[in-house]
Amino acid sequence: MFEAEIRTPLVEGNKTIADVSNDICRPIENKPTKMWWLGFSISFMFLMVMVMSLGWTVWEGIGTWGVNKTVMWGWDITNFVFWVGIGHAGTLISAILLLFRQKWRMSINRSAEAMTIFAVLCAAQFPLFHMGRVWLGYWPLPLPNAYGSLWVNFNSPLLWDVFAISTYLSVSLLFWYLGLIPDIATVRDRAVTKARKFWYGFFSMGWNGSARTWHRYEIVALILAGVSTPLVLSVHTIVSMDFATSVIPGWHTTIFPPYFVAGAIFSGFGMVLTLLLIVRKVMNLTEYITVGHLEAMAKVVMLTGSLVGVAYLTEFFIAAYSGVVYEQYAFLNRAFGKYWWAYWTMMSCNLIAPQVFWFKWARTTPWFLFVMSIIVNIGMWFERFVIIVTSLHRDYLTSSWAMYSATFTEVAIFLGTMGLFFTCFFLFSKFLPVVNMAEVKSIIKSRE
Amino acid sequence: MLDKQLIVGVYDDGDNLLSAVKKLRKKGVEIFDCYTPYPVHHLDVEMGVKRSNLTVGAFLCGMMGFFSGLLLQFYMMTNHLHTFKSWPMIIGGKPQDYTMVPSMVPVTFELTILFTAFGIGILFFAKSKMIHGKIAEIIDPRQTDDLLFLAVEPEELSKISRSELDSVMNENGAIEIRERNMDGVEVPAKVEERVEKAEKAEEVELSQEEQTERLSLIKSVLGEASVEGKDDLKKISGVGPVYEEKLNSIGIYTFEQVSKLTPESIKAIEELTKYFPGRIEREDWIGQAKNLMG
Repeated sequence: MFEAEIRTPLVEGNKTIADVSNDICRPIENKPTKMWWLGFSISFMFLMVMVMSLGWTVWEGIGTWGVNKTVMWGWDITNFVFWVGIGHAGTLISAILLLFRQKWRMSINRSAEAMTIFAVLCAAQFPLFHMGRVWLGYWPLPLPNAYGSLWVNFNSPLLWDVFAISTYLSVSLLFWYLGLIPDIATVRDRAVTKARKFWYGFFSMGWNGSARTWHRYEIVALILAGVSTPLVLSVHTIVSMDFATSVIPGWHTTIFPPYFVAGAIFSGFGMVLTLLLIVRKVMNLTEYITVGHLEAMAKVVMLTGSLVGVAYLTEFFIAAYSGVVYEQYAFLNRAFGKYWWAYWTMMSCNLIAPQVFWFKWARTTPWFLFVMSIIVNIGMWFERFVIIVTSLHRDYLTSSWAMYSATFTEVAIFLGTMGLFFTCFFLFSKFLPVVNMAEVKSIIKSRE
Repeated sequence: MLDKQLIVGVYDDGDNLLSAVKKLRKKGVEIFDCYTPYPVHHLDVEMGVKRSNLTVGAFLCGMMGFFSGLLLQFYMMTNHLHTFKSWPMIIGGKPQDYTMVPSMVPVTFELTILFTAFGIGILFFAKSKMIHGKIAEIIDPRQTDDLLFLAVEPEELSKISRSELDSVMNENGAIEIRERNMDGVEVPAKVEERVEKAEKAEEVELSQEEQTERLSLIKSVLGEASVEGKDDLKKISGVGPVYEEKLNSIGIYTFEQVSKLTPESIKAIEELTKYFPGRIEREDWIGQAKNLMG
């Protein structure tokens, strides 16, 4: 087959098909390393912090949080939007890049999709526990009940969110699992212990790599990618409508849906970079997740960061141009009011910092990328904080003006969801192949 | 399937398998199936697999989701279906009739996608006869790992002679041609047997004399080496940090030593370190070590 020499190979190290199985299955087939135990223990500790702080919230009530009558949404919704946004990169990589036939996605899609699922799980904690009586958490579902025609309100964006997020979680899970089946079968057929043979056999659903099954499998993958793409766009659109359909100055803008989607992909890629830069080193996958992959992701970060930046500036311009004093005040207050530090952190992390990716050195130096990915994560967290808190804390009535700061419990819950996220990720990296072996085996020879 | 009679060509490269399939189809031979660890591009077309109509199923599922979403919301939010049993829910004075259709868009959209995705998932599993816990019908454990298999039914021999079939497979790079369940030809070990074998190997505890005997065998075949001239054995694919330590503990430090391995010494190493039998050969450590030396 013709091979264009101008392109670098997608997987380095002249791998054979057997090498791919051996390299990727190694963590599954051997005892976990010391690094794994260390990372897992720390994550698990933070997970316990989450359990305790959520337990305290339920026991004592929402009064343990710093939210008040004016700023009724604080860290909880900030963290919710933060985590949902992070999930979006996984779907972008696995679905949108599949539709665009971008083969470089193949060695990173598995871990990015896993990240999506774990991030959405983290996000779900916040609205669920902000309800206060978490044991009634099923009430947003349209279930028949004994109260006459008392149904959920389909005019409410918060209800749309329930549908969007739960659809997103379940469809992502299905897509991820479908991709895992051939690889689970590989582990099953290499198994030398009875337990491994049984469990991987159970979840492989009898996969045998028949060409007829592959034929259907590829059609299903394409259709799932086709529906996941509008799904991922709709999810953050609907999240943004939680704000945009209100009449709060600073929230009530039509730019929110595209701006939130770009921001979600931006923050998601930040997190993908953070995770993969660790994974490729710790799990010795530098030949599969190459500098080429990192560079491509850095380019996406720069593009989406700039999109978000344009949205920030547009918002400012429209506020000035609208002639509405409330709108103008909201934005001036953001930049120069009591929360100016949050605003300028956001601006410098999201708009200014990613511009370094115009330089190739910045896109191809792993340690620098790691620093940048952390900056992006911080910047996007602050974006949500700025949007939520600065818009709320100055109400129409000056008598209602208030300040908001997070309490220890809120901080603990947020750090705790980090624990949940990384605990899930460490378990995933031990028990499932972190790279899609079947897809990588099909591209080890090609240079596209 | 496990007791089906088949003539199987074994390949280690998708392009070779694909060209063999093309040649055989040109000669009028129907392919029973191919088993590959990864999707080989265009293989389905060359095998003459009819395009699956799963897409139609997906569309129908999507329509079902779309109408379910609309029905759900008309039922709950409006009285067009006469479903207000006691009182309407008026929230913020918003209308309770068809004028709220724009509000129905997001939920209808999400349900369309939900039904499409899960509908096609279920259809796919049903069509492929896949279900949790099903025992896989495999003809070789390596078909999901690193080898590709081209299976032809013996009935096809009416269209092509056996020698011609073999030569077409061989010319296109088959590394082996097997017969399955034909004339009592040996079938490759099933997974269960490999598991048993591996477990047995783990159970064997060597006595002190046996250990020294094996250590001296290794020493005599591989020669002596010490920590000073140590190579990084982890560079051999298949050797991790833990196993490297084990190798060092039985006096193996260099690539040169590994390259000199003989079947007896491999057996001795496997017994001493309780390593999976056959893996050293399968992963070709000797060849790898030679490469690393050169």
